[in-house]
Amino acid sequence: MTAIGSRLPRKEDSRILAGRGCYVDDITVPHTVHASFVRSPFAHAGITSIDLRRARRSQGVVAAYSGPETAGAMPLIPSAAADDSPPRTPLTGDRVRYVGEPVAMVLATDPRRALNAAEGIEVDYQPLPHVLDPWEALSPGAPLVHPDRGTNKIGEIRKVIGNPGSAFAAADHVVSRRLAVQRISASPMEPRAILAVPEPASGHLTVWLSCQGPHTLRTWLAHIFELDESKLRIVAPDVGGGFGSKLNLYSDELAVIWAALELGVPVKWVETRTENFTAGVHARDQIHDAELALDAGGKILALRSHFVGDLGAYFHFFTPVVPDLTIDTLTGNYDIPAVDIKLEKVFTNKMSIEALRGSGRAEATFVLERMIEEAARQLDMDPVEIRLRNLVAPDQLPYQTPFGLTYTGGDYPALLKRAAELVGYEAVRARQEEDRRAERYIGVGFATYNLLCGFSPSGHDWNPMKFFPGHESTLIRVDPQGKAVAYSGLSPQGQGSDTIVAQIVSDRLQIPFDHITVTHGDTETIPFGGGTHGSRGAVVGGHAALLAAQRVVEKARQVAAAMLEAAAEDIEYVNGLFTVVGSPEATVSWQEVAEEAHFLKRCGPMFEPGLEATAFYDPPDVNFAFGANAAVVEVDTETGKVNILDFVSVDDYGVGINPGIIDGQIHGGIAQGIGQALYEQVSHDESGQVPSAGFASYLLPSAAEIPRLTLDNIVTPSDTPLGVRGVGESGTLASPPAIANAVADALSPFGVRIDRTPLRPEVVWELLHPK
Amino acid sequence: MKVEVVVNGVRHRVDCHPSTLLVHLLREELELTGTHVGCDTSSCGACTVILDGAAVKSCTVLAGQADGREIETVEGLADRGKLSPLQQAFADHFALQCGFCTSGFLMAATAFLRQNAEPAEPEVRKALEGNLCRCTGYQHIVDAILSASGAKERL
Repeated sequence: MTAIGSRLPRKEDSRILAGRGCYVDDITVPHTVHASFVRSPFAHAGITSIDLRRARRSQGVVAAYSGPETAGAMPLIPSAAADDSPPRTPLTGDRVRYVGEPVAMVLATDPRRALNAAEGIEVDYQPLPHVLDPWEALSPGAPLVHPDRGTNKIGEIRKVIGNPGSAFAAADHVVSRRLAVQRISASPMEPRAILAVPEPASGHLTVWLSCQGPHTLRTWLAHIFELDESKLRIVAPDVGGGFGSKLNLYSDELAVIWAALELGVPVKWVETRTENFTAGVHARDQIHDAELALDAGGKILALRSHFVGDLGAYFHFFTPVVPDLTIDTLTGNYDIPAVDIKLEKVFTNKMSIEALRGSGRAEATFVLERMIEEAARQLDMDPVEIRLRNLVAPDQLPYQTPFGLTYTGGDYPALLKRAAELVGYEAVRARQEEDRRAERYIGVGFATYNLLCGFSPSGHDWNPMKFFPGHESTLIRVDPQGKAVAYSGLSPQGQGSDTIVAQIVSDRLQIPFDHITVTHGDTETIPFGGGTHGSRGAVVGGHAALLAAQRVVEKARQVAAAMLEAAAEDIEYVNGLFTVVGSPEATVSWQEVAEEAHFLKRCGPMFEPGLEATAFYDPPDVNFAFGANAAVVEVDTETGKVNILDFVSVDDYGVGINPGIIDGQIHGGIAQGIGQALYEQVSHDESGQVPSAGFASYLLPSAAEIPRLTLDNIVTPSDTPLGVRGVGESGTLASPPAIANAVADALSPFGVRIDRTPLRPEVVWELLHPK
Repeated sequence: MKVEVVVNGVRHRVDCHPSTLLVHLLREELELTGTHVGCDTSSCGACTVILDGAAVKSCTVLAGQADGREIETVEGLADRGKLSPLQQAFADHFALQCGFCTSGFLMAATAFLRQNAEPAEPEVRKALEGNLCRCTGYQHIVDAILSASGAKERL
């Protein structure tokens, strides 16, 4: 039996279950000082003065800094995705541009003392007109987030492919909607955390950081602070979730590092949840004016979407390219010959938008699948039927989308049909009719997805970011007993990649899973890695492990050949034994070879000692995973509450490495999608405050809100050696539109329009009771 | 102020400020870092411990309120390295991913199963309302708790 495909227990678990995980806040270093921040209470204001005197006199305070005082001393923070990033410094200078922006920092011997002292800092603000609505931000005379730019508009991308104009002119039906995907928060359970430990004598700096990719951040830190990369060590220990929000270097984290270098002492900062909701990155926030042109039979002729991406006040890491990803994924799995897409990106007085699980693609999937649902309604067609009529069929593969993506495998109609079957589509329809007579409103909704993933080949159009590799690395080192340690460049935050790397290595080295240890997340020991994001763990990191294991086996084969006095090409390696082909008695075991490789008792100087290899894998292309979701909901028309009665996901993630881990990834993604569909929203009031800055108001779903999920899968191996496809983000794409479509279906007797999420009870109630 | 607590069967006398929260006493004074802080509004449940048999959020309890009482934390669940039936069920069912919320779920579920040895799924989900997880979608956690329910061994 192979390890790949087996439901092997996670290597990560026993330590964490015993309470012996090691997250940044669990690490203590003597003489550490603790940081606390003063943050802007205004969406937009000038800073006229900051009085640090009281804070500096407070008990235990080591230092206090303000933005204006450190102007010129603290570095500018660049964006990885654009050269024209508006200036951003760790502590803002003379102006604040969003609620939560760091203004001043206190360092004290204890976190509570730092907090108390920070509360004593008086800041005089001169409030300025602010802008929160992206359309308003684009209109003439709007308050400017960055006045020196002269406009809030960041840029515009237009893609007109095929002949959408004539398609719309010739269409029998045109469906038009304005659809909004709200601003949400990644909300990892571990807030951000950093411990920066300088060694002034040698110039070394170690940064323990809750992050998703220590190597890229090391390069960025060296760049920003003009340090030798060789003297900089970043460690991502156990990381309590990231979902894209920990790929960044944040202002406050950089202020902590700056203070550690300035003071020459360890500095620690652990974010509060309130801070995470205001000063941690946000995501999504797009408004689409979308149109579909269809013929009388329901075939889609063209898609038009002119949309705006509200990026917030600054560029973080990926900010300006996140909505770009929406453009090229807007046709999903459907055969849509003509498109007219326009994206306008705009600054507003809010925290920045960043990558978040499914970023760009989740927005595209919502818009596309809501539009198709509305088309079905307008044409009086069955929602499954209209999808089947438009999905790319297996005999159309390889299929090139209007945007130039090439789909090579998969049976998209089969996935949808399976989802319909598992949800009991016909029975639900029959029940729906009966229930309506009893004034009970259930609805069924479908959505399909195509997950562009495995980010991203170096030098590829999909990877425009600076200092951001597309490859992944693994070093495998075998010890004299024949057991192995794999040093993986992935930097997981719960994805279980230590386990899947061990499964891959176990199969290739033909040694037991238990003989493999996997380690990650430390720039001092791990080869340069890209980290964990964008559904790339198995697709990119898995192949690096595979390549490294193959190289180790080749070295071992050479050693075995010398031991057996045969040519390497005559040695086969089966079941942990090296055998001379045709001489079954001439064998050496893996353990014997591993020992010989280290001590060379028999081979002498024939070989460089040791048994290890490093491999980097840069994928030749992006990867795709796909699937279909079906949701059944009941809407209580008295209260507006939506209950999910059934939820089915049928996914094609190619070859699965560990079914337990994969199911967990899909469950978690769907739960986030349910949150997006029904509960979660980062809201801003008129003044730009964030009333949703806590779990109680943001409404992260609990076990009571998430139903039991039914999963099934179809396997189409990808065109890669392992045959894997991405899976980490899969659940987040189709679940929000499937649920929104089910709510629209349930409420179809009332003629309401579902144009936005979250569909909280008060929103649904207002739809049912228009003023 | 002086606080005396029994944590995982071991008696401790600690001198702490009256405003010290139980979670900080556990994490900082006793170095029991398996109990986590995930929010500042008593919403997430990552800091859940068992206080005299009841699951409580240790970020809402003052250290002084725990004086003279018995506390169980995640570090006390395993018996000389052997995972408790619930911990083992979490491993068997892939009930953790990033692991940050896990100790809170283990403690909440341990207290719950002692009160309700053979719960139905809706009761389990209801019992977990005070604990948030962002990774798992809860299904594997619920499965683990259901499979550990009725276990004859000590929870």
